Amino acid sequence: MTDGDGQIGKAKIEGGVDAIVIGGAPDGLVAAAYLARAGLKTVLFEASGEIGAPCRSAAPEGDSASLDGEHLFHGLDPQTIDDLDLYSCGVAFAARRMGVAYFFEDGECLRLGGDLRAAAQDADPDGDAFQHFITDAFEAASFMRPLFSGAPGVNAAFATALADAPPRLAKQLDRWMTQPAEEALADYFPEGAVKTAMLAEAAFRNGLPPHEAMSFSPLLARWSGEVAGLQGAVAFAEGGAGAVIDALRRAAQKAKVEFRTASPIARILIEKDRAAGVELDTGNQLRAPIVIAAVDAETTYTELIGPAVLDRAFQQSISMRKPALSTAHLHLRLKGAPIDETTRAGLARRIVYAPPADKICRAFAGAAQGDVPKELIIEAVFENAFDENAAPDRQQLSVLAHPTPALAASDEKGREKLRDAIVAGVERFAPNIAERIDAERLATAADMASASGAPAGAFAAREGVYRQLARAAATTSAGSVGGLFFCGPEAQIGYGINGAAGRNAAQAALGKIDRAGAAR
Amino acid sequence: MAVTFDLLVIGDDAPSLCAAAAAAAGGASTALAATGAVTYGGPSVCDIPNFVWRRLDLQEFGLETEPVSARITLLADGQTTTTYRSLEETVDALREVDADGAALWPEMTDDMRALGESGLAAGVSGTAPNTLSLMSDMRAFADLGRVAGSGEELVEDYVNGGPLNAHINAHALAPFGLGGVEAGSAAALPEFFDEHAWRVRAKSGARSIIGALRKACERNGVATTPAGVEKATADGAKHNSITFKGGEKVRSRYIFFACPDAAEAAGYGGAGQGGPPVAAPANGARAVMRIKLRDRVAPPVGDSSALFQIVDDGSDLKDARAAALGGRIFDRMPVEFEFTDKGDIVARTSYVPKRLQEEGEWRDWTGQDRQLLSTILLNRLVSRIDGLQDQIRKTDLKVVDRTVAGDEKFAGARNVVLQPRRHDAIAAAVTLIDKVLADD
Repeated sequence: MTDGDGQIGKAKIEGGVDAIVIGGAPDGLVAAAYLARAGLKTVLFEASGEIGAPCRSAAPEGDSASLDGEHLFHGLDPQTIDDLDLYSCGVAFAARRMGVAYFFEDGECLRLGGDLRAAAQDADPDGDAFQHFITDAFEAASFMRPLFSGAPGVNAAFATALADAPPRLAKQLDRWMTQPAEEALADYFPEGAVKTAMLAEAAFRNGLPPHEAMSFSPLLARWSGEVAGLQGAVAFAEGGAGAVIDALRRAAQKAKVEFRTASPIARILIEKDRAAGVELDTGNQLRAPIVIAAVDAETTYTELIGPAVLDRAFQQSISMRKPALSTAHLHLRLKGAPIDETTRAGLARRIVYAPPADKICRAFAGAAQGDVPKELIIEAVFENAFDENAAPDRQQLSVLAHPTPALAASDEKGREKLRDAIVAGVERFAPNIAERIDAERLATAADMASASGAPAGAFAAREGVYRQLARAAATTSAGSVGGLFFCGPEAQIGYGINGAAGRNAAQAALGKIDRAGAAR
Repeated sequence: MAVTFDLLVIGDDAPSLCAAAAAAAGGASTALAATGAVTYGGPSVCDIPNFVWRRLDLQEFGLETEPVSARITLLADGQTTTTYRSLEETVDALREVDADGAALWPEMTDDMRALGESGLAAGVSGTAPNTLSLMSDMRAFADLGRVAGSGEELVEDYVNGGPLNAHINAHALAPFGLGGVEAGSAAALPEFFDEHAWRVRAKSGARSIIGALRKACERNGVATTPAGVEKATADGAKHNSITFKGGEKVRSRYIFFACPDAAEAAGYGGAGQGGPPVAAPANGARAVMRIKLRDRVAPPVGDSSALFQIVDDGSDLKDARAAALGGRIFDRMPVEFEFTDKGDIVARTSYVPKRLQEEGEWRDWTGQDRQLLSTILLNRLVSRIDGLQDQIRKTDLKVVDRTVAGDEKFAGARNVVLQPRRHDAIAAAVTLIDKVLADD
């Protein structure tokens, strides 16, 4: 605890705060809400003028609350939903178990229901193989869930559980964690629509091409999560993903978290190897025994703390190079009349364009060299089809495209090429859509980085799960700085808004606080 | 009625022979099948570790080996980089050309060996019982992050660009056909620095390594089957029935490939089961060329018992890998080669496309493609070996590939175990076969 307010020169030193959270991203909001609910006086700092603002910049003005890079939910930490009572704060799903339509190069389409276990039973012609695969993959993913949750101290318990697991399962897990996706799928499927669809799923938002080692593991991480009570499901939140951030903000407000927006942090104060508070760009200081960083690791450790405080091995472990690949977001507003109920029902699903395997591999190779691939994996959502209240006078299409190269924000030619490649991908399932585009906005990793103030690497595609686990273990160890906790993007295994990292950081912090609220 | 074995090892190479002999010496009823395909071994094999040597009493078969004299990289413009088995010798050699590299070499060697001994590194590279079980060791996480990353990144932690960087990458990664940017390619580095990765040759005048290992198989009761598996299918609850080209059959609990070369030659396209194939890219083929000479040529840097790599610079591996994946025959193909006792040359490359792409369409290899590859390999060798052009008497090129999906020959078989490609292939194969039999 601090001993009250004070002044050094013109800078102000403020105290009386138990915990500081840096960053108004979803995990920062979750962490702050948990701390405040536990009775700690908590202040959350956000560099921009609005909580969650950097995430919301992708839609043309007036369109729905689509977020850069996040239009669907693949996993939302159920414990966080319960603990923070997020449903009463406004979280609602317009579609809980979204069906998916996979489109292929030859124009064929494979439609699956939102419950993959059930869908696998009905799939034709590879139903048996699909059912076998989904059963095995879901079993493996469920088993891995504790490890992927990133909860502190889970590793020893996981190792014990693994020792008691059926040998068949343990062996399969060991293989899948390092196998190339192509090889893992070849064990189950003949060439065909289901295999192509699953390969696209495995490669989507993955930093590793599907022919390379460890490229299957991110799919396990994704399927280890659940949303709206169903493993492997995909959901669309009412009001778009931005509405979930609003709900998290309300949960934090309800818990009496104090928000300070437009307040960039200059550094984290470290005294005697412990976090002691933060110093703002203005020079003002706020002192608190607990600091939770909900911004990326490079910003936290390199900029806000600095290498002088951290040992070399720790710096090496957090500075692991990230893939150069990322996922781009294109938001399209379409001309034409509002959609009717029949059309709405037809469009109310997740739409995926799955290129052939060799073209996916070439896309990764090209993107890694900085070229815009001709063929991209596309995930698209007609947002109005789910949410009739969202901009009812127009049709909107939110598109994620992967893999895309690291394009500089100023690379107009590259951006144009990327935009054209994404639209060409969309035309695979929506012919002539290019003629119907009324307004559009492209967000690359560079745009997202620039909007959030984070380095572009923070928006890089995810690596193999071993690498993610190693990075999460390193970053959440906080370099052995006492009182410092981390829930930036590197703390999470897999992509998307989840909340578990924020919960883990808050619970770890609370574990270090005695009943009187003093740091141990 | 077909004879039943615990184990059928398929392969003609040193790791296969060692694995078969070691399994038989350990009490398993073992059969050995030649692949039935033409394969070209070079004069050197990876080190035969003491535990294998002792178990098989290899000295009793007249086996005498000596380490390959050096690892030499022949870069563009006549530049060379050489490292030796001895740390001191390497530091002395590097000091003359790269003082920083010389200073870093001992630290890098220590670090890589420590990384190789770490549980997770062993797990990721396939020798640990189960990689995941090791994750309770928090210290291992840091190692995990390093070995699960790219080889390029791990090398750059020590040597940032330049000839030594290209040398390490060429020798550590080229045998796997890796570009250095792939996740998990870093796992090749600790393996490469392991003492069992250093290759050995038979001493001049001593029995050939393969000959001695065949004798060891015979002495330990390894049965020999006909060459060339026609079909392998599950037979009963635990066994496989294996039919050979002549129609003869045997039954076996396990089918074991000690290295991908054997699997490729036998036509097995399934995944590695002896641990994750971290350092082995699934797409791509390998080419081996034997070049018979009219007369001996002077070896580069005067050393005929070294292992050579040809790369122009550090970017060659990455570009060659990208070309192979894109279905192109790369004109700056990285080439590994060595001289035989007779002065002939065996050259290898792992950057050959599995299939070729022309105007967006994939197609199989043609005679013209082989001719082009042959010309490229020869040009690469001629560019580094003085006088070679005039002495070439005959060349023979073999392209072998490993199909990604299970091949029909083995599609119905169970318990097929494949050791992924490794620098320390013999140590790894015997360790793996012991594990398979112990788990049974």
